[in-house]
Amino acid sequence: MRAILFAAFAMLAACAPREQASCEVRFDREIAFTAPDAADVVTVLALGPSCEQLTGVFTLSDAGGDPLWAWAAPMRPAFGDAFAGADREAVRAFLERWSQPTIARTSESPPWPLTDNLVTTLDQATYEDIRARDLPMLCHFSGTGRQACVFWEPAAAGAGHYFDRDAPEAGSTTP
Amino acid sequence: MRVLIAGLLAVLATACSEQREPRTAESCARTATRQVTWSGQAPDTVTARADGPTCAQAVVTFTIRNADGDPLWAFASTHHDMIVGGYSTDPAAVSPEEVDRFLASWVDVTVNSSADLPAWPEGVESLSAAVEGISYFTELDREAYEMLRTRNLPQLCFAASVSSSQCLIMDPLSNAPLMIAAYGS
Repeated sequence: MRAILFAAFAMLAACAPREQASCEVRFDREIAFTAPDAADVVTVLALGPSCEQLTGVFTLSDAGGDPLWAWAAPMRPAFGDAFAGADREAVRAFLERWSQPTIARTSESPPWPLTDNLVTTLDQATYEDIRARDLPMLCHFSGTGRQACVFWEPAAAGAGHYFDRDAPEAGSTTP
Repeated sequence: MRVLIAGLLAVLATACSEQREPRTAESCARTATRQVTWSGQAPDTVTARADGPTCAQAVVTFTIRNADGDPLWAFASTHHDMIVGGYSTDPAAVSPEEVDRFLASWVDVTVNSSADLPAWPEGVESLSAAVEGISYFTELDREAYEMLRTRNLPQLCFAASVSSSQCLIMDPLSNAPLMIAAYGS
């Protein structure tokens, strides 16, 4: 009898998932980025052992489910007090706002030479080529007062990291 | 009594299988984990995770947490970019076993010393210009880079694409993780 009960407890223990996330919140939003009538999808996911210890993942996919861009960061170091004492409802409200990127054109990006508040790993020729071609550009928050911007390359059917910048002063500094 | 216990075991077995297969048969949800000693005395946990409607369409996430569970670093990309590189409108099928092999290799990070990074001599315009062959990049200025590099700090390097890596240190001033350099193409 004891052996059977022990086996039952062992089965319960075996049921534990490999990565137990006690706070996991996800939000999906349809946007048009790759084309004016595209049904692209932004998925934002936050997960961690508690709602104050989250990592956040921002993903952009096309209508067929192919991922075009993915970005991640620890949420509290990136977004600060928004995650101090956060619960699921607060996290979900944050993700709803985070899932609303700015859609613009690369021609609206600043000319070379770049100022200190904008960082790119691209060389001057590549940056200027992308800017001159007036491609779709998406910017999402990557921290308080900070945004990551990606461009859409229709010839390759892919998105690439364009630059990181301080959030425009006219807008909010956080999602 | 035996009938009750048999019933209990059956319920447990059912609950177990439901927990392990929470998604549709087509979805791809895999993880790999490894412990490393990097940010302090207690081991950190490195977790690599894949999520997607199929394994060929998976987004992969790399996370480092300290012993308290606080996230120190996170990075995301696509499985395709990490394995093949670039874009594909028609990616080849990928099996769950292939994703598992990738995740296992991804969490197998390198822990060495910041002194292993190349020097950035005075008068050279950039770190990249200071090194022939492999391309190096840092967001730090030369003074900060050299100060951190020569302090021989524990450094953790992980793959950031099919042909590039990022190296992290714990900034001794802020006690927060910092990407000291990236290298590759």
